[in-house]
Amino acid sequence: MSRVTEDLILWILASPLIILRALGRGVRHLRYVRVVSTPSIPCEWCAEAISLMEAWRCPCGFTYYGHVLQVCPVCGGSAAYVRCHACGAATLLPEA
Amino acid sequence: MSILVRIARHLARRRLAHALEERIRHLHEAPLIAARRTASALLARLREEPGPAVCLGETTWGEPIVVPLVEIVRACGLTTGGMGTGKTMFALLPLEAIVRRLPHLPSMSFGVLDAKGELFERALWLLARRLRELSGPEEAALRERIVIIDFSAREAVSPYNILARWPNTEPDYFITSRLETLRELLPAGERLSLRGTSVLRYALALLAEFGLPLTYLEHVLSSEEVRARLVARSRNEAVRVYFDRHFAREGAQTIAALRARMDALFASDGVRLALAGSTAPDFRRLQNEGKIILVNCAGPTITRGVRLLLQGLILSDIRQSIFARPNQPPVTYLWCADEAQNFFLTRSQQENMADILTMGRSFGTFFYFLCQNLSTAVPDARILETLHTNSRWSLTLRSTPHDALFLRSALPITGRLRRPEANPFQDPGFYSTAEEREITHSGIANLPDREGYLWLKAHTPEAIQILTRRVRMPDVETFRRAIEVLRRDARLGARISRAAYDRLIAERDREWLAEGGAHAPLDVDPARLRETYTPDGDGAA
Repeated sequence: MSRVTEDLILWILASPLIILRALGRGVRHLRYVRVVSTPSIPCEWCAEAISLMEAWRCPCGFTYYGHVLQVCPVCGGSAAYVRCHACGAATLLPEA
Repeated sequence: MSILVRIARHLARRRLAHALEERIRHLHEAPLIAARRTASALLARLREEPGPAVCLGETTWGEPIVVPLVEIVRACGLTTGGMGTGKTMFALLPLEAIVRRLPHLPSMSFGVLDAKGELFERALWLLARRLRELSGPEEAALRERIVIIDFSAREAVSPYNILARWPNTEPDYFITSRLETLRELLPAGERLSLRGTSVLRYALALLAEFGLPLTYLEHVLSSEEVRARLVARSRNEAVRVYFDRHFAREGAQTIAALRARMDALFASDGVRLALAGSTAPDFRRLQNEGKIILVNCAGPTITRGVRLLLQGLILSDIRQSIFARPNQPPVTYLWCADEAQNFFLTRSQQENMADILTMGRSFGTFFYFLCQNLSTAVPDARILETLHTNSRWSLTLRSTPHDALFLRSALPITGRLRRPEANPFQDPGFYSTAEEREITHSGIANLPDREGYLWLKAHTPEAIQILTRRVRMPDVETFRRAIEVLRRDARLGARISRAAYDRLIAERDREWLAEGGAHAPLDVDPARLRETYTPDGDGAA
């Protein structure tokens, strides 16, 4: 069996996993896109709306008014979660 | 960043920008909104309450302040504010709300006690306007409910015999009370001596026994014949003994001094006429029947001392009448006392007011005080405390911060009052709650006209900043002309025309003064009446 045939068989065998991973990444990305274009999300715990358009302060000190998922132009960091003002619990944000 | 994210952001940019703007505005206004939330919720609740209501004005954010009328009428209230801040105009709002519903509002009524005539005239105008709107039996019913006591009117007289004894009262108690009021309220330079007081006590007792007015005092003091006639008919042993044995020994100076002091009371025609009457209003009956009582103690010829004395006497009568009312009467009565500082002048007046404030509720009578400065009007901290404890609502217009100390803890605080920053690179800062409260409290000294803090104590721990409503009134000239006509109209306010009144007095004088010819009977001629009521030269001092 030639090397090409082996690679093809392995690829065919692995393709469902690859497709699944791609789909998962695609879903996460779509969720990210959806959150990026929305001004608020519901709290996972109390369902109260959490505003994503606020004044934010990056751990590096950069402060800006805008969307929470805006990438910091100084350190390149991005927020991982937001805190609900109503119940105090944190809600994870989707990764890019 | 993926193309998809860029596209999504681009598509949503307007929505996000708008949301950001909204959010920033909300962040800025959130504490203000939170501070208003309590007031707005209260106002919404009050607006929904059933029954007649009164619009007092609007909040600083434009929400109408509509309060059930019963909240104002069935409670003691307080309005303080400097000259021209709109106290009187504000006081007219609940009165107008009542008048607008007359004569179909039998459960509540009001009285006006006015020391300067302004509230009296405006209330009179409101009633006249309402009378014009009505016709037939309704007009007659309202006309029937109006009682006017105007000490400055000469054409339409309201008899007010201050020696007409209160119903169901011991004569001694009545005389002591009257004497106390007279003694306390005579101007400092005209205070009575002990001997003068003693003479006055017995003379008042003698006159009160026969329901004769204070204007007869001159006759009692100067005419032996009149005195002998009255004493002979008297059933009061002490009075008879005094006049038979002791009066002759009173010094001429004492009598002259007493006459001079009492004469000062009758300097004004209107006051003299009113006090010369044989009857006095029965405030107990008038309150129970839901009459609208308008009392005016001011006038161009009424001196300050006389005005204060009249107010003191009326307050004394009202106090007595309140406690003679049945418990929980069907008519709730509100007395509006303008220039209320005049009702706290003496110790006994303060005690009277304290009694009314603490117990008046059980008898269905409440007081609404209007004055410029409460802390100077009521120097006794204990009485002031009673006033604040028992007032259910208050309106504080432009005043001194010291006078508004009671309001300090109730001032609405936002937490968003910006602190001035000298350094432009410093983060914006806000005053602390305590600092903002201090600043707001000091700001009471320079509030604009008609703006103040309304505190409905029974409903909220926080006062509401209010811009008071104005009652629509005609221009000054039209108003003045209308009032002049109303004040002269004896058909309005259960008064007596001057001619009829003079006839009544003449008849009474014929009975008591005519015999023997020492004092001629009174003629209906006013000029003649004046002469008769002026002390004559041959007074037996």
